[in-house]
Amino acid sequence: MEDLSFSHKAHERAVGTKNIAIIGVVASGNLEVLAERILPDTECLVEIKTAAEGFGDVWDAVVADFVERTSPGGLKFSINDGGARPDTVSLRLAQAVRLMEDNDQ
Amino acid sequence: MSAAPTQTAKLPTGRDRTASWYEASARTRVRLLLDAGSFLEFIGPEMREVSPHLQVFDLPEQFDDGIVVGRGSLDGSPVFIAAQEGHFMGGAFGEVHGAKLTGLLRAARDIKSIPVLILFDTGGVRLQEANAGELAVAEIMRAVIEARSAGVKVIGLIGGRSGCYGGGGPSRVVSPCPVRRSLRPIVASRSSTPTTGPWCGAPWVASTGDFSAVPMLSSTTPCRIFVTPHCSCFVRPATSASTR
Repeated sequence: MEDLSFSHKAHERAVGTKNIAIIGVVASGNLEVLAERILPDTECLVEIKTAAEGFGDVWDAVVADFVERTSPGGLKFSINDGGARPDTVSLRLAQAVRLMEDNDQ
Repeated sequence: MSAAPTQTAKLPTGRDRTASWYEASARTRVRLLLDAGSFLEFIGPEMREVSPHLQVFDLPEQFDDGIVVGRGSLDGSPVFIAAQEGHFMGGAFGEVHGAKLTGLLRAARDIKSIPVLILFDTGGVRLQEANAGELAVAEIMRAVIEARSAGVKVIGLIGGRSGCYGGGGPSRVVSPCPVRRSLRPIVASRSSTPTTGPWCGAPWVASTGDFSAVPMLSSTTPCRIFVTPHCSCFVRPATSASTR
């Protein structure tokens, strides 16, 4: 297992008031993303536990691209990865942000 | 015959009828089954109660350890619900996974009046957890028996890709019993469960769709199963007065 952590500055606070969301499942070629609104408005943290070691550079690129595209300020993402490809990672991260856009009932 | 793809078909109660039980994740099944917004999860993923055993094998963990437990309402009636995630390690029972289900059943036993729905999707015991997994299954069986002895209705729904096998022995406890016939598991045709072992009779097997044993259920269980053309299923309390 390899642990990775990427901290970014986001342009804007993530939309919505939902405090927590989870998407995906830990399976081969898949991953789960737990999003929590617990950081200051301009910060974003992505913590990854992955079974596929040695892909830190790819994760770095995917996460940087994600932060640039969606500006998820205030969100911490915790990822359990089962060896997902970069496109799947991007999709799950985008889904997590989308879920956080909802308003808590 | 089937609805147009663009049509967003809704049940009268507002439930999505285009989703497939077979394809859905544990969380999606819970969300679609219960009244909208009524689900309250116990020991949710944010608590990170993960398996203590998988790290030894260099295997990734899942924040909910592959099972969602909590309470909610079904057409206004309170229920306890547990749903196994069949895609995480084949929905297998581990120590934490099993403890969450055992805790739910014990809560039901103590409260007495709230039925339990168990959405099975399991290949059995998680082999990496060895004795801890076997023990978890034994505890679940005991908890099911204790809950039933306290008068709690325990209903198993078996409709996932992994079926209900091996250490899915809890389903056998939930399953046919001469005294309480209403505790049979409900098995969808595309899913499967072994028919050997301590069965007292065959489970209800739906002939089409995911769960279509509507007539049989309504007379003997507190729930009724609705099937849509898209092989979805929704359990709702039977409208007729039904008791065990």
